[in-house]
Amino acid sequence: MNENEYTVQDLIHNQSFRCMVKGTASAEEVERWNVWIEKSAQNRAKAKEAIAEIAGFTFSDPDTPDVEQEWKRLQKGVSQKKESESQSAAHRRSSTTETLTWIYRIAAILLLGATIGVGFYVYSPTDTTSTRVEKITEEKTVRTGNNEHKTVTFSDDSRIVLNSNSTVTYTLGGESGQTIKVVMEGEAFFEAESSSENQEPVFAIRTPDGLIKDIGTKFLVTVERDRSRVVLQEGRVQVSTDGQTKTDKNITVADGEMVEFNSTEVLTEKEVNTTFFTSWATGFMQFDQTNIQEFAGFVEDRFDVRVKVVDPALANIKLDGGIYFRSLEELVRSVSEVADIPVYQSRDRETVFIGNKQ
Amino acid sequence: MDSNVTNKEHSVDKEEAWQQFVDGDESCFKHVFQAYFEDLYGYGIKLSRRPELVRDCIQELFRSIWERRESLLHIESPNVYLFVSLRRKILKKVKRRRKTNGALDNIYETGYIQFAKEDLIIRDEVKLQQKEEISAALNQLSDRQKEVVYLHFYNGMSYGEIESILSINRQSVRNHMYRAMETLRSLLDTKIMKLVVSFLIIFFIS
Repeated sequence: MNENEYTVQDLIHNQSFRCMVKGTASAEEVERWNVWIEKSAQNRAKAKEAIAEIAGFTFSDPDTPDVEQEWKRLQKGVSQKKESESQSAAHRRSSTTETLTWIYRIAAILLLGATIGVGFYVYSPTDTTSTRVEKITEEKTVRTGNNEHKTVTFSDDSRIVLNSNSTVTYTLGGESGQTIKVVMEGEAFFEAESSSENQEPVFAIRTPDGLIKDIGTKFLVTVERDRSRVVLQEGRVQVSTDGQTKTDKNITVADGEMVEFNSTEVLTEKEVNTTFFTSWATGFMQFDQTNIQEFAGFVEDRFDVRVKVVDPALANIKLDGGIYFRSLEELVRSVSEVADIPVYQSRDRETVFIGNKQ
Repeated sequence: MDSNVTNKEHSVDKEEAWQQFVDGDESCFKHVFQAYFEDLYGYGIKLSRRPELVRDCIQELFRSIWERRESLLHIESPNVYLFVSLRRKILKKVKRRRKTNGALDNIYETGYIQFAKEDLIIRDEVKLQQKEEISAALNQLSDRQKEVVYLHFYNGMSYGEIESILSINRQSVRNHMYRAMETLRSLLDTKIMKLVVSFLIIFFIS
């Protein structure tokens, strides 16, 4: 039988489907039904009905609030947010990049004036030029709240991933291949897709302490109260602290390095496991002879939980290799499975125990 | 990751509306909201019995979807994405509320809720005793088992989707389902009867 044509009755009497509902199907059978159920809304509806018949019960529909009212509320929320964002973006324009804006304004006026002059001389006037001028000065602000990440993807596939409670304001050049100017607070991960013939950096990031420029690379920038930090996962990055700009002394950050600086000097420059810093954005962590205590420290810093290594014998275990994960639970589970160590989470989810609880 | 086009070609309504929306048709946003609202609310109200909190979380979720609409193309399964996101939001709020309100609030937010026979709606002819037995059997399930059963039965989620929503591995989904069905087996497999269970449980995620 063509599996697309299963009826509800077919499913009810299908041994494999019944096994799937009861949790006794093989992994292959489960996979086959996964594909079938996910294939279409009709299949899902048939599966639901058959599951209810096989199990003998189903759940009633929830007592749902008025969807139309909820939609109106959402519309209101979205439009309010839009307004406040455009207001704050306007505010930012006037404060943080005032100089830049004035340069653009002057350029725009000159360009407009020149075009109008030429236009009057040769053709009748059009508004094409003013549209171009608007494009040149395009500036956007993206913010994140608590426990929120946002990704900004550019047309060349370069990306900025914002960690929670962060803000980036970026100004796009009018032409593709021009450097994207970024002013930021908080923490963001940058992935620059630079073509080999293009010598210009993809991003130029302004922090209160200095300027960071990439050269085809993946890196993290964190702005703290008294310092800025760059962690370079791949490629090359150039940092000029505000104090050094005039003397033309730039610091080049190498692969696997972390550099911390304030407006006058470089505070730290050392090799680190970069994936410990960037995993929130990339979902990847590389272990290189990493001991359990280091791992515990990382989990505490990154996920805002307490981690207790309850079995001292585990201290000597070293982790090697890379893992992909999407959540704390996945990370901890993977490590637990790979290293064969029991890992528990407290009922309030605020503490992770590594090793058997005493 | 590329989305699997062949898997989507037969889908209608919800997923199509989602696809059009992420492809840039903003007029589909309302359709997406309306199409997913009931399922999300139904699931959310099982995670927390507070309608206000669930409604707020759904509002937040769709506000963020609107703001991030240009970066949602990579999402392979909107179903999973929406359920996972709502689950996270609700759990965060519940956790925060517990911290703020202390023990007084726990009675509403932990897994003490029991299935009552009054919560079972009978369809077809099922005796009162069976109704009580079913509710008793359902109450014996662990919270995680209840959640797996609910997603599979009510939302028609595949094991793969449940795996992603709960961040557990596929074998665990099968184990939870097997244990749940074993617990219910003596009552439910002997003859085909169909109860509609209307229950106000919440799953306490430990």
